[in-house]
Amino acid sequence: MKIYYIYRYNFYAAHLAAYLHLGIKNIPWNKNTSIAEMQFEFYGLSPENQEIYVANYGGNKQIFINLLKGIGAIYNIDIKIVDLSKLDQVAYRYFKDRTRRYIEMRLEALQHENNI
Amino acid sequence: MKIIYSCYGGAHTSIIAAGLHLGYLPHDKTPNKEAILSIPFFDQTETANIGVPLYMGQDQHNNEVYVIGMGSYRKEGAQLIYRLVNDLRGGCRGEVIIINSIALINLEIRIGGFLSRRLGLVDIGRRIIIFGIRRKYDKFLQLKREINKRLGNNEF
Repeated sequence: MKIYYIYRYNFYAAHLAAYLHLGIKNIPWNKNTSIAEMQFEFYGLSPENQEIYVANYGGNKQIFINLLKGIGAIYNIDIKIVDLSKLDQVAYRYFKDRTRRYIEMRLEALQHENNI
Repeated sequence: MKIIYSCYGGAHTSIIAAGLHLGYLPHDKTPNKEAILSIPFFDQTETANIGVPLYMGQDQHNNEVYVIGMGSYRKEGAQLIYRLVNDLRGGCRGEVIIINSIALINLEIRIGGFLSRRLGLVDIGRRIIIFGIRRKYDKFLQLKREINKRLGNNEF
């Protein structure tokens, strides 16, 4: 299974989400890195053998999601997309504790829904 | 191999290009209105479905032909698809080819597409689209010949 954490402006949120999912406590953080529009980066394999990616959905979220799911369907790949666009709001971009709490909640929900 | 025709909405030029590839349209004359309307998915893609691959069929070389609309992100979308396939299959050569058919659009197809897909004026929109496609049909044939030549030479 491939899990994509997608964002538009709040790279920190997606970066944090990916590392929390991987179970890594010391999260390396470089403020100057980001991902190009409609591109993704592989972050690693989770303890449950899921491939974790972070992706920037660029200008049109619906097209990006449709493309990802469509190519996954063509090649019979199970793809889950976690939309972190809510965290692009100002309240989350500048308040990292709030971001972390929200992500931990979403991660729990994802694991519960997928019996992970 | 998977052959993907892309355009803006995945409703007109890419559908015609894919339909011509699969033999829905004639190679030796300009098609009539009924032939164009009989192509699956012609002028049916909704805005929310832009980006969803549409399976059109298999050609005589067993290549699967798809149509994908990518909006204004054709370059980024193509890069995304190539990267995904590269990760899945270890390379794109012989696996997937994306053919951008947006250059085959003309003013009539744009106006007709806008009327049909955006404003819901399907009847008048389709008439204008078909008029535009028939005017530009020689360019579609030229694209098809070029693709066939390159497929025959295993250049993909």
